[in-house]
Amino acid sequence: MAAIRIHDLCKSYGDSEVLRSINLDIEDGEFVVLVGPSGCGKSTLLRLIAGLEAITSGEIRIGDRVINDLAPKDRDVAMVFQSYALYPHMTVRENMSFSLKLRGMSKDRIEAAVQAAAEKLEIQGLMERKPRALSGGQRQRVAMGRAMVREPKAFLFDEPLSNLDARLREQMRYEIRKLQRDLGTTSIYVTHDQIEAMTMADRIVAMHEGIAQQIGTPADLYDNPANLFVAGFIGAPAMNFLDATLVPEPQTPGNASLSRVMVGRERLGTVQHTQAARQDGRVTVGIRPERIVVGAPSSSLATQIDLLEPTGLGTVLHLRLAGQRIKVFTTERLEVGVKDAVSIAIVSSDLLLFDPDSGVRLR
Amino acid sequence: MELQGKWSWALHYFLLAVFVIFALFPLFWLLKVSITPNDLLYGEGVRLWPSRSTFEHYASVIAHSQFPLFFRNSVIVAATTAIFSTLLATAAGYGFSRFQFRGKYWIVGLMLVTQMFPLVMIIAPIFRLLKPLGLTNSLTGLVIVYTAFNVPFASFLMQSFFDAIPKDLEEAAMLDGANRFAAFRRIIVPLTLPGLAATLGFVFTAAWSELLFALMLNSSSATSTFPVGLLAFVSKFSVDFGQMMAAGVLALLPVCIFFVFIQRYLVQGLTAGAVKG
Repeated sequence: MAAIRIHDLCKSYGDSEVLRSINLDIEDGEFVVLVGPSGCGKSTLLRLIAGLEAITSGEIRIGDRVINDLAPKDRDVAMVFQSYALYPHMTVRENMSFSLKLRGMSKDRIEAAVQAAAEKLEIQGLMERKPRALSGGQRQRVAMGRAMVREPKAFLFDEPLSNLDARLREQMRYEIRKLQRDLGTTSIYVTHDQIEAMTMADRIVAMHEGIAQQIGTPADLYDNPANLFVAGFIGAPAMNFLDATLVPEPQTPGNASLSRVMVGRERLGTVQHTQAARQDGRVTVGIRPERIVVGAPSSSLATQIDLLEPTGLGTVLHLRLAGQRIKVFTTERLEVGVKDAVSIAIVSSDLLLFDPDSGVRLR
Repeated sequence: MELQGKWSWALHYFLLAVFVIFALFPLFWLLKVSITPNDLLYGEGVRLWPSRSTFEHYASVIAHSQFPLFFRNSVIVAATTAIFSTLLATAAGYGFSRFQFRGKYWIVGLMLVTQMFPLVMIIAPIFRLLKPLGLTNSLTGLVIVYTAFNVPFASFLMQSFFDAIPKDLEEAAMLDGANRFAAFRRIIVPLTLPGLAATLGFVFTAAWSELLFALMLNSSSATSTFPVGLLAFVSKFSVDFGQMMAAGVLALLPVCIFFVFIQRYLVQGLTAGAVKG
């Protein structure tokens, strides 16, 4: 077990930069999730830490050792691959003991370590099987077991659940997290699934175009996204974005510089004026679907229903507000249909403002 | 429905039978002539099976000709060529499959070019090269030439087998504590056994049946291989078909034995590459 420190890490293939100046401190025992769309560089970052790709510039430390130039075998990290990468010609037992054999550990100790891991993962009955005779979930467990037996300084997970069906994924999510807490091993987990990231992480690194857009706890990223990318990527149903204009309120004594947020002719709310906004007042307004109240009687906005999506837990309403589309999530059972008019209410403090060009959060 | 199934089954097997008969007929004829006594060979006309059979051709080939020597030479040359070519092709194929390096494009291209022109063109230069080195009239010379000719194709063959094995497996092994060579030996090689067997078989048969270079480079009978030896049964005025065919049947044996030995790996196919599922 060890902390992992990544300093100013860059990676490029020829002229194309895949990772740009990544800085990340991972504490001992922490579970960090790298999340982002495909091609964002998250897997590359993991492979750099594993030593499977060469670093272009920057530094990676595991514990107090700089590992930039160490071979993968000397870094003492274990990886769980998306394909599981179990050795097809070896039994489960052989798969799990392979790394210990390479280390020249004695037979008894190998047997004990493998047995302990097998018990923890409840795969004792599968030990003499070959990988091809295992189901997806069982392979997943064996891959975990192979990583565990070595007691490495860190676990690296490369989208380990993406080949499983939804139900099994939910279960394995829980098991991986629980196992990691029990073992207390520093872990880095790559996924494109923001739900996996939200449910598993101590901290999330949201990545896009080779840049760590925001690093923080799941709640941080959800409530205080740093930019449009993070706001749109985290959360399902995704955050609403509306083109809006800030119109300064007439100055009155004791009512310092407020601005109205206008979408077409509709007033969404009133916010403190921000200097960072563009001169013409154009902004992108973000609001989470579940923060919008449906059917509020007064001081509300008139909308029309485009589509209803029942999810069981609640309903997603696709509405049209001043010509723009907006989603609302509610757990109330509503007696409404498509084309009906509904009124919605928004609390001003729930409005997030972004610069429409740079995507940077203004408020 | 039932009837249609039967008909399609019958057609299937009829076509297969036609193909098998077509492919095996020359071998059958080889066997038939090899056991036909000389006096019946021309006397009986064309018959599927002679009225009398004999093993005298086999006896005289084994006891009174140099064929056992040729046979031994062929085994040495073909086996050595197969082993060297496969070793080199495995290393080269792995390199092409797994590494990006400067000049890779040109090396692969040049290797392909070597396969493009007829070997007859280079007999004279090869002879001129090998003669001063003392490699004509020598089995070593043949092994070198055969290996050189077989390595390019064998490398492409091996590369395709390596390509079928996911990189993840080596990477997992390297993270498990193996260096690249150990990962190759303990993970990749066991999974490529069918490919190794196919390559061995391919090179072995190519070297076993090669005539042109064996004939041109080696003139002494001490270093002749069996295809050259077969020509010895053709004399100025007659061809001893009986003995020639008997020698031919004997020459088939090692190849048959070899394939019996490796067919387990050949039919195992490429399923080794299927890791996901």
